[in-house]
Amino acid sequence: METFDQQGGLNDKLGRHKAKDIPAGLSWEQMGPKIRAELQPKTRRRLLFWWWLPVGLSVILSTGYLSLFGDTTALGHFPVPGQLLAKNPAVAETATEMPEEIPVAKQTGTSPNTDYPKAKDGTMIPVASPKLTEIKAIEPSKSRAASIPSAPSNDIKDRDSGVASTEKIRNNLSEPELLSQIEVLPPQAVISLDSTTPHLEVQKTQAVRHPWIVEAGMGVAFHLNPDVYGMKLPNTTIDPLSGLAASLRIGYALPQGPYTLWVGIDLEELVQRERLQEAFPIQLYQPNTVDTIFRNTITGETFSTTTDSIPGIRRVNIQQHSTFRSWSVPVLLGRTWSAGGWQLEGRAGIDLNLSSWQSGGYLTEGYELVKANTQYQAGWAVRLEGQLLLPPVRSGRLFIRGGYRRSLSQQQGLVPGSPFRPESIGMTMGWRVKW
Amino acid sequence: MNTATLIKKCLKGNARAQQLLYEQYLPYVLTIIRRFGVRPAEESDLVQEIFIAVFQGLKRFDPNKGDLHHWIRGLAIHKTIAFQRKQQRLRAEELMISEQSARTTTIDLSHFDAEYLLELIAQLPVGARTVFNLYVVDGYSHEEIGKMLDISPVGSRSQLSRAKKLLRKALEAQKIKGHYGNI
Repeated sequence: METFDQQGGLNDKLGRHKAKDIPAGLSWEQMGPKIRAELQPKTRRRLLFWWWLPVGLSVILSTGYLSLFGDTTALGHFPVPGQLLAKNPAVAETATEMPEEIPVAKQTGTSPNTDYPKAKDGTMIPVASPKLTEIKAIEPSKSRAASIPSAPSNDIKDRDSGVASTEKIRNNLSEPELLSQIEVLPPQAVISLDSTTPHLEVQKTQAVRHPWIVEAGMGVAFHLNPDVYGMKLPNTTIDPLSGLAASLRIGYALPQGPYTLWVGIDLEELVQRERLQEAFPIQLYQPNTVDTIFRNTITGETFSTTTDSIPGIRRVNIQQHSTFRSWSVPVLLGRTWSAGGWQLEGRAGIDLNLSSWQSGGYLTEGYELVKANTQYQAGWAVRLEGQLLLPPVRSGRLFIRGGYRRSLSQQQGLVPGSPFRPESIGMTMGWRVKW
Repeated sequence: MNTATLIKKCLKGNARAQQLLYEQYLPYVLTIIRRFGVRPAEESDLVQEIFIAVFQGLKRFDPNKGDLHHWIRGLAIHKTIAFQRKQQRLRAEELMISEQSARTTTIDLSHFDAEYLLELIAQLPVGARTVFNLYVVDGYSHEEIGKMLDISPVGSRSQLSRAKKLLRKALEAQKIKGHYGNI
């Protein structure tokens, strides 16, 4: 007689009962491919995981090399007081081109400067000067720069000037008129060659601020955890939590003093490997079956294996592979010191952070154990950074940054059941541009 | 094909052998997971998980030392309980109830249809149903049940008492309606 008061009392009736209605979705045609796919040995993605590092380093190093050793932009030319036009091709080029202010001279009726220095051959060569004096007729110089017509258009000898527009201008103006137009250009602030006052254009350049700064970089990060090593867990070896970091920062240079306000976004992806050398088997079934449960001695997570036909204690090695991801929004204030083109910047501030921790386990035989759930943590931290900037080049400048971060929302070390670590350090290399 | 040959071929990755084993034991596995109250929408995930574990664990199974059906049944039970716990349907605190033991009046179930009994069991609360299945159907002791579910043996006995009380009520209600046999 079967009852439900006895242990195993319904074993005969229900223990070997076969379900009759099997859904079509559970047929071998549907389930077989999925099951067989999971039976294939998994290739670990360790090598592929680190592809960011050589690619990122190559990009940064090649960009830095090209910027440091590439061509430099020629500075703009402007009239240098006391310097001969003929010896300054840029000035001569300016002299042959017609600025918009020149027609004004005609209207004002000003007369050009005739007080020219004499060259060796006795020809007089025009020199840029703010003074308004009379022009004396001069012979055209043999230099290309001074190739201006000595007479009205009919006697123009076409020099090897490649400037089609200047030829047209020469055709329309005689020499005295052209020189007179040059003379009435806006007055220059610096006359003496010995003057140390920056030229007007230079002064104007220096007055322009580029308050906005953008930095982008990649690097490495390490999460510190002294508590674990201090606990000396038996039969457990923990590799450091390390990996890659990327950051994008936008800064605003404050008008008062060498201070900059920074906001940005940082991303970290770190990997930890933990090796457990002991298992804790528990016999759950009838004889000849043993199921083994592995327990992570730090986080308390449990993983279970398939059953075994050999009862008793088993010792196995398992490796737990955990991935940590973190998104941070730092808000920092920086102070800069400069010397000889180099800059050193110190920053301090806070950041808001969202982190996730996902772990899975592997037996050394290659089987994958049950994956644990992903854990999340949000909080805020204090951040300190030091940054070295190389001298600027055309498109920006290279920087190297070291940083330290301490979580204030997670005060303790490793909390049982919580694998997140409160302290981290990192090093980043990247590029900065201003506008 | 005998069991040892079937296992050998499965271990070599023979798709036909794997299909045979799957189709042979799927009805039993399906009964087990339904008995423990797994929802129809979740059956395919759990069946996949169970048979992956079966094929991966075959290398450790010795057909000379155990029965393959019994082994697969034990594996399916364990995986089902782990699945229920993962879905947070089996919380230790819910299982830790203390009730007075119900009257242990013996009830003859031999004339009840298996499908009907399964229906009755499916109506039980999750904790009582799990303990009832493990103790009465699968023959585990309260100590073993306590380790599986992370509860004390006393808690296991309490859940079993609760299950028996509820089943008796259901059976008495059916008797009043005159549907099934005598109690």
